[in-house]
Amino acid sequence: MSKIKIGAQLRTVRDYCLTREGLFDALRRIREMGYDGVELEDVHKVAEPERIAEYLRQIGLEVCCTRSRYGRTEFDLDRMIEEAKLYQTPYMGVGTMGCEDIFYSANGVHRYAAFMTELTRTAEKEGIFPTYDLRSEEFVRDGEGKLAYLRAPGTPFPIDTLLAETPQAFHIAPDSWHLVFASMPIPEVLTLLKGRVDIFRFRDIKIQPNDLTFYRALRDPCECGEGVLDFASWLPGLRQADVKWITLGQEFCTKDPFACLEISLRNVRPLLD
Amino acid sequence: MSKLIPAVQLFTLREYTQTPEGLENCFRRIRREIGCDTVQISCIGREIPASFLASLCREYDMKICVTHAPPDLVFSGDVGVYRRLIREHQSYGCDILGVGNSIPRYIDDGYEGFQRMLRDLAPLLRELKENGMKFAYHSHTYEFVKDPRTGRYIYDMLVEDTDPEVFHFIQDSFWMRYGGINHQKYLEKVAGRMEVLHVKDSTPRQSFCGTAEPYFGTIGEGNIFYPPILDACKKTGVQYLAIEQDYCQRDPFLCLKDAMDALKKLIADAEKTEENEHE
Repeated sequence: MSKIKIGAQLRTVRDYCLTREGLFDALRRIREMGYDGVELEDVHKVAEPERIAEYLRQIGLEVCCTRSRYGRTEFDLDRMIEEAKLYQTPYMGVGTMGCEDIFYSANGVHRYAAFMTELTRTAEKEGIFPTYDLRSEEFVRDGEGKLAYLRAPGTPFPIDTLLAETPQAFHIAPDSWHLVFASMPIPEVLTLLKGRVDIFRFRDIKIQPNDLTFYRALRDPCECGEGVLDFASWLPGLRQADVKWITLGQEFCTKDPFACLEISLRNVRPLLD
Repeated sequence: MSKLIPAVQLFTLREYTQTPEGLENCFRRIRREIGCDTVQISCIGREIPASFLASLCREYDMKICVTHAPPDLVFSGDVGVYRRLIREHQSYGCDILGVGNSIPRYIDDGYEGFQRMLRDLAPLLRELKENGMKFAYHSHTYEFVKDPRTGRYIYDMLVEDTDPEVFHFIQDSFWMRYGGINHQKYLEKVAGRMEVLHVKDSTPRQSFCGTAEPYFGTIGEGNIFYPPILDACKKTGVQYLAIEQDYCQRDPFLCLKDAMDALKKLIADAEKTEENEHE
C-alpha cells in the first residue's frame, strides 16, 4: 500500500488560468503551497501541452490526472491520450455522462457504456486508464428516457450498468460533494467501485441557513476540513482501497481561491501523515 | 445492546389524522395491515382530545413512544400549557414530549437564536424533570450551522450545554445524509439520550442542472445504507425506529407497509449480526 498523495483541483482557481502566464503562475503557487500534484482541466486551450509538461517538470509538480469534458472524447481522443502521456499520468479524465442528455434517452447509459468500453480498449494499449468523473446522478434510478423518480423501485442505477458493461480499466474518480447529494455513504461506494478508484476528490460542505425553506439548510462549498464532512473517518477505507491520490478543491470560493486551496491542504495533510 | 422496535411516525399520515374517525382508522390499519404496535404522535388534529388518544391505545393495544407536540405550545413559555401537555402525555402513557423542529424566531438568529431557545425552554424542561419525563428535540440539518466565533456547531451546543437527564434527541437518518454528516458519530454523541430515531430512505431525483438531489423515499428503495446505522443504534441505546416519509409517491399506507417490511428485515439482520459477534 503506497502513501496517498495530495493533489489540487485546478478547477478551484480556473479564473486565474485563462492565459499562459496565469496558468503557470497558478501551478507555481500550488507547488509552493506543498501540493504533490494537480488535476489539469482543459489546459490545452491555454498553452501547448509540451510547454506545460516542461514547466511542471521544472517546478516538480506531478499531474494526478487530466480532466476533459465528455464531448472531447468523441473527436479528440488521440490528443487526449498523448497529453496524458506527456504529463506522465496514467489517468485520463473523460468527463461524465450526466451533461449529455444520456439519462433522458432510451438505452442512453448502455450506449455510453459501449462507447467507453471501445475508448478504454484504445487507451489501455497506451497504458492509460480513462477516468470517469463520478457525480450524483449515477445513483438516481435509471430513467431510460423517463424522469427517474417515475421509475418503479428495483430498476437499476446507472452506476450498476456502467460497472457491469465497462472493463475494469475504466476507472472512476468519486467526489465527496456529489456523493452527499446522492445520499451515498463512502465505504459502500468504495466497495461498489472496487479496483477502479485511484483518485478520490475531496470537496467539503458548509451548512448554511436557508431563508426560504428553513428546514432545508443550504449546502455551500467550503475549504476541505472546514465543513461537516468527516474526511478522517474515510481514510482507512481509502487506504484499504489503495487510493493513490486525494485531490482537494471547491466549485466556488467565498475568499481568494488560492487561500482556499492552502487552507484545504493545511487541514487534510495532517490526516494523512 | 438494545432491541430495536419498529414504529410508525404519524406525520406520514397527517392528511388522515385530522379527525377522531380518521385517527382511529389509522390506528386500526397500522395495527392490522402494517403489523406495528408503536406510533409517534405528530400533526394530528388539534381538537382531538388526549382521552380519545388514550382510549385508542387501549383498544388497539398500541404504545406511543414519543410525540411531536405543536411548536407554538412547546415554545409558549406558559407553565400552565406545559402542565396540561404533561397531563395529556401521562394519560396516554408517553413519557417523552418532543418537538419536530425549532421555529423561525430562533432559527433565523442562528447560533445565538438557539442559545435563546434553550433559555426559553428551561421552564418546560423543569416541569418535565419534576414529572420524571423527558424532552426530545428532532433535528434536521440546520443544526449544523457553525457559530462563527467558536466554530462549534449548534448541534454540539444542544448536546453539550443541556441536562442529559431531561434533554434528549430524535435524529433523522435522511436529514443526516442530506447534510453529509457522519451519522454514526452523532449517534455516539447522544448515546443514552435518544430513544427514537426517525428512519426513511433517500431516493435522489435528478434536478434540471444535472446533479441529483436527495428526496424522501420508502425504506429499501433508496441509497441510505442501514446496517452500520442500526449497529450504532443498538450500541447507543436507541429503542424505536420510527418510519417517517414526509412525502409519498404512492398511497402512504402502502409506503409504510413496504417500509415496515424492509425495516423488519434490516432489524432481523442486525440481530443476527449481533448474535454472530457474540458466538
